[in-house]
Amino acid sequence: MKPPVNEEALTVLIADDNMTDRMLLSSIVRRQGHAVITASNGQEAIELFRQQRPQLVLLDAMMPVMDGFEAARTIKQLAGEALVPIIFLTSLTEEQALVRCLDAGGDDFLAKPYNQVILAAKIKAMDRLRRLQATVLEQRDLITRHHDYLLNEQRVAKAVFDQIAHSGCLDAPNVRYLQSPYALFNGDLLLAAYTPSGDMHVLLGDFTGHGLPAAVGAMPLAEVFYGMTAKGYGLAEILREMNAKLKRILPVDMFCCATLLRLSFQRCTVEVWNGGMPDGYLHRQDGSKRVALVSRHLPLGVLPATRFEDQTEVWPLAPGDRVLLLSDGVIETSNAQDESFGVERLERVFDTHKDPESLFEGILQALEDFRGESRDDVSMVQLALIDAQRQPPASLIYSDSGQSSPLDWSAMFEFRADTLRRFNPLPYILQLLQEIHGLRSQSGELYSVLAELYSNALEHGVLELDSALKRDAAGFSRYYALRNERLAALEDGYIRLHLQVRPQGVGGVLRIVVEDSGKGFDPAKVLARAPSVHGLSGRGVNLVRQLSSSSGWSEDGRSVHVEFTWESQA
Amino acid sequence: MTIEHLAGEPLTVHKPSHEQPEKPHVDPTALAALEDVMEDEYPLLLDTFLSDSQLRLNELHRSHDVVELGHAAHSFKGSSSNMGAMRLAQLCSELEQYCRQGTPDGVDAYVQRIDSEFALVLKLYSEERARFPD
Repeated sequence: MKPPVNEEALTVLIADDNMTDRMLLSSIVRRQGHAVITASNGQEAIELFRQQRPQLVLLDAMMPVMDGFEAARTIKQLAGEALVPIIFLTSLTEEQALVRCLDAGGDDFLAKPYNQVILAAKIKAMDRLRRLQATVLEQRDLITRHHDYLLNEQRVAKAVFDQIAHSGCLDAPNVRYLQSPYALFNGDLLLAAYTPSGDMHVLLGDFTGHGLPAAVGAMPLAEVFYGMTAKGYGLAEILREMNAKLKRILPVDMFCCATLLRLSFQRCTVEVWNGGMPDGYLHRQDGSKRVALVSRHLPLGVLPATRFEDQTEVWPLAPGDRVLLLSDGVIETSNAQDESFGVERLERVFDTHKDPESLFEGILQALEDFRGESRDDVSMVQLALIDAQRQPPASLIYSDSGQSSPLDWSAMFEFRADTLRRFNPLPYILQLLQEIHGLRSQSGELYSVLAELYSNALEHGVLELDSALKRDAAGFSRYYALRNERLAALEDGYIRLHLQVRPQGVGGVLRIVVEDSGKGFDPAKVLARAPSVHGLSGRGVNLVRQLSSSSGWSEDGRSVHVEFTWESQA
Repeated sequence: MTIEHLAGEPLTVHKPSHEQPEKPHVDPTALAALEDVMEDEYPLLLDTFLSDSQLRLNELHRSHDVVELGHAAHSFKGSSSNMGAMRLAQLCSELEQYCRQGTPDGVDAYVQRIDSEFALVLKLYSEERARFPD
């Protein structure tokens, strides 16, 4: 009789020193459709296993030269991760021997006299196990390959992302931060950039989700952040653009919690917008009460453009003060007992580190003491004021040749109430003035002066706010609350901006006149006041005088003019 | 004489030390199954068993170490049971168990019983073998 065709045919190694049994077993196994190789002791069995890699081994326990136990151990070792089932050929009499078989790696037993039906069932069962193991290994390897593939994709994505969303000016001397190199794939995002006037914009964001989806949203956000910051846009415009963009591109369940702030070194202020992030903190050097920078808005990408709220808060900042922003990873860091680090522990660190110098390390230390292991979704950034004089000049990249620079023109813009409420014209004006190549080396100063004059005209002129309010911290908040209130309700008024460019010698001169519809003031009186260098008001006038070539106010205080001159075309 | 006739033949030699129902000398259904599974090789299997058994017997006679003796008995038991030599397997099993007690005294009686049982088995299986002239 020919052996039946067996689709699951195996190569079976039979090792028995007893020739009769070996012969019989071989015939039985062959009849079941498997290929058989035989050995008469453990040593031979191992040698055959090495050469022919049978899928199943039937092993007599007691054999000369090398017994079944030792052979089993070696075969299991040679098989490695693959399951090569070993069935010991022994009568189930002695408990101790059975334990030894199992210890040596035996998977089953077969008693003598052999029973064909039982043997067939056992081979089948072992083959199932063997295939299961092979499948598990295959899938494990597949998962490993996928994992490696994913990791590689993330590396590539990170490289691309690092080009688009480089960390900007996070290496500035007034910035300290903590962030995992793969924070991006936890949805954490930390960006910083200088504005044309030398202020600093910082964004700490936290996208919902993990992995590539979280990182993908970060790209457009970073582009908007860097692009608009470089062009001189304020927080409100940047926020509106970010929100609109994310709302448009992200799926409904994805959004970005974010704190965006502007650190103004000239004005010594910090302007903050927080949508859904944990409280940030303003830690005072003088020991006065720290200010929580609380979330007052929904995250970016949730509300439609028409309902988005871009109101910011402005706080005065003294040179030693620190602004601290953190991701929810800090608060939610948990220890072995599954407790969260929590806001209370964080505030205790604040209380025990009155000196802002040591605060950042204090928090790091407290986190380390608490959890004992590091997490990669903890992001933290600490900011301080630096001397306005020491800040690096804003560097813009120009791509034109300079041959078409216009040198003799004038223009007048009038921005009326409805426009003043919702539109910041400065980036456009600055863009226009960038066309004058000779002015480019002064673009930081130009922007600072323009921004100062525009905000003076708006706040003191059109909105009739008294800068005397800003003498103390409470008045400071009041001032900005009033500003928002009056601006929202504004129905009349205008700001006019006259620009005049003329050639002069080898260079030229730019004259800017800013005019407003306000009540005006007596410039002789106001300018006579001793400027308080680090006080909370009166900085603007100083700044304008320092940075422009010449400046002056009209007698009624409603109009101010400044001039910038340059010697040659760049 | 056929195998079937021999199967139920009462044992007249020695009584085993512990009371256990006596097994038949040969299990005819086992032999039938062997013939079925071995096909053409059945006579060869019979030859192999008989010559192999002679080696085992020699081992039993030669050995004085109970562990070695036990192993030999165990091995002999295995092939006898596979070949349907039921009573021979039973006697080997008794010797194997006796060896586990650890003393060589008295093993001779067991070995003698195995000797005489094998003599019978040899006769019966040679007759079975004779059904297949080469």
